[in-house]
Amino acid sequence: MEFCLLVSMFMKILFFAQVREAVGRSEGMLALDEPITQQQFWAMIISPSPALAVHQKTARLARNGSYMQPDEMIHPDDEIAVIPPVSGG
Amino acid sequence: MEIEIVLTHEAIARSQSWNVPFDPDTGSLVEFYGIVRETEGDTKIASLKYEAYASMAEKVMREKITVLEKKHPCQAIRIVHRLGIVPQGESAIYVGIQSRHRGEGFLFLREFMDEFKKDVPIWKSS
Repeated sequence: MEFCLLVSMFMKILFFAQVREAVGRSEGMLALDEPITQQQFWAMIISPSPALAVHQKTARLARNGSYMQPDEMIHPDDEIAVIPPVSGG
Repeated sequence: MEIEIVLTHEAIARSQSWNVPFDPDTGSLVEFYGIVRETEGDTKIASLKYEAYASMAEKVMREKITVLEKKHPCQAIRIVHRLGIVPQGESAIYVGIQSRHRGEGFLFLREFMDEFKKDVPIWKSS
């Protein structure tokens, strides 16, 4: 008998500023079994929070505290921050 | 290069004092205070509110400094950014740069602030 055990990991998502206001909370969790693209990530977070859609063009994603490159994948144990245009200083 | 980065909910005093002694090679101290204006766009405001992704903000600032110090070698930089509500007339940010001569200090400050405004994850709202 062979077993195939799939264990989902929970990825932490951080929302800031206008993006947090669109989602209505500052943090979220997403269960992942395997790496996903950034496009897939956006689809997964927009699905339960359609108000996020308008931010996809202007917000950047940061993976574990660094801005993501366009082709970089998201892994199940990552912390992803959704970063709207910054305005500090 | 000595780096000190502070994110605080406390008011930023004018003038700032440095916790580390001045480098003996320092011949210039260039300072910048970013102050909350009375108007934001066309709207009159009493204050601005700042929030940060603090761990990433510090990481991005250090990366920017590492790049800039190769172009404009300086002795030390101290950055203080206030978070929470900042009343009009008070400082949201202080940046001080010690350098041997004023030229590299001015260049470092200008380029650092330009990079800061593009990438450091801090946000204001009115």
